[in-house]
Amino acid sequence: MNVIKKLLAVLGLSLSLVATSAFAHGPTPQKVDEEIIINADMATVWNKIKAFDSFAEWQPAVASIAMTDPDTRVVTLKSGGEFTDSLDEVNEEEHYIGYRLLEENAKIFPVSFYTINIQVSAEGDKSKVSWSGRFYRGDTGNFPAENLNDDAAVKAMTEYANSGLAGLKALVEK
Amino acid sequence: MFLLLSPKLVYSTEFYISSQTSNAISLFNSNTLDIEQSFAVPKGPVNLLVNEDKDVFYISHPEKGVVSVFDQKTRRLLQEIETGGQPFGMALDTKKQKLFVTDWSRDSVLVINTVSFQVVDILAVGKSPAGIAIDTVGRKVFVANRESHTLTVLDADKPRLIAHIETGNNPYSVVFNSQKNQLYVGCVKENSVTVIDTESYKVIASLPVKAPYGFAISNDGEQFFVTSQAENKLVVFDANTLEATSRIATGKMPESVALSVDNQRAFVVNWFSNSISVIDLQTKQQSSLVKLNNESRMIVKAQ
Repeated sequence: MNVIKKLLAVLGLSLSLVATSAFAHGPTPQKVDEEIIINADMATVWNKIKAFDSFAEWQPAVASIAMTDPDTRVVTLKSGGEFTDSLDEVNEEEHYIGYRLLEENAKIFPVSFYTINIQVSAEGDKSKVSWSGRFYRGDTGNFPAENLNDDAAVKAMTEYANSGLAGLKALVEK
Repeated sequence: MFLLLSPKLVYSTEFYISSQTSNAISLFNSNTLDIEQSFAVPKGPVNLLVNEDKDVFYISHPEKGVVSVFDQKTRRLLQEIETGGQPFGMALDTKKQKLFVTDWSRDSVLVINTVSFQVVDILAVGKSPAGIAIDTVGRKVFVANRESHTLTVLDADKPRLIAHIETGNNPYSVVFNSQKNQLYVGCVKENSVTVIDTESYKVIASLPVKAPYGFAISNDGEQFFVTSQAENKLVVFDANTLEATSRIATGKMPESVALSVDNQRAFVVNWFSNSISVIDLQTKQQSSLVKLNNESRMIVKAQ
């Protein structure tokens, strides 16, 4: 132990042996992979998807969006509470938008980090929209509470994807 | 007779690929492009590292608090080293029989004796250390501290801090190009690769790559390769000019990359698509696609 203590003094850091850390992303990344067919042409659907600031128009779980800069949005959920997304890419050629969680709020949405990609492709005269995501549970320590474990994160992200896709379909087909 | 039996003289065409959710390692043959075998390992395997001298490989299992040791020939589990915490990145000191392992949740680097399998030291570093690399000649260990936005340089021989360098936001992976004395640090949230000169410890460039994850360096040190998880690309850089020379389409959310022995092809593991993109580095295009276990993460060459 002497060596360790000496080193800690050298580095001026403290070594915590408590194996939890709200901000760490050590564990298994989880996946969401959902899609829907929408009875509308691709251009119409893409116009809705690519508008990063108009997400509340079609995602029924979202109460409002507040842009803090052109690539950053604060998402307020209808169920209460907010988190922040950061835009990575709007690809016009591939009809693809990618964004990620910038500031998490695991109390209201039990993930510590996600990246989400939404892409539309033509499916005959209809459109296919895919919602793909990679994310980590709310508590990334090795002993998460039930409401912050992998299952809770998968459930929340899958519901979020499906409600978004259903909301998009309802809006465009209206 | 002895020469024929030496495993080091045989150029392996096999690669290990970890699948964290399948609790398995796939054995990929880069000549036939087949998955030859998939074998069960302890829960949640992530990083892989081969120890050529001992003919074993190590697997980190962050959610189990274990580093496992497997025999390369029999693919059998030799040892589970209980480290506690969340062991993640690994670097092998080939000169001193030591394995350095980052511990994500205890903000430290564990030092494991590769003969006794004992944890012999715990070194404090920055917050949530992820990637780790070693310069076995210059005797330095480099640690990417994901939540401190820094890189720690430690003395490989004694508990001594050499340098603490600011990187881009959320440095995740780090690799050392021994021929150029350069470190490449993938800053996953910053969307950049920080390039550090290991003689001056100065940041000499910040290269734009969206969500950079896995790296590979060519044998001659002239080129390096990084997967962009947000762009679904393999980005190729010239190590002299530090310019991107090509951006090659991969599958969805590519995680790691390894090069073939002759450096003519790159094998990219696509985490989301559950596949390997085989990339021809001459035509700079995907030449084939190999199906993989679910949520595969890391690829390393067997020795």
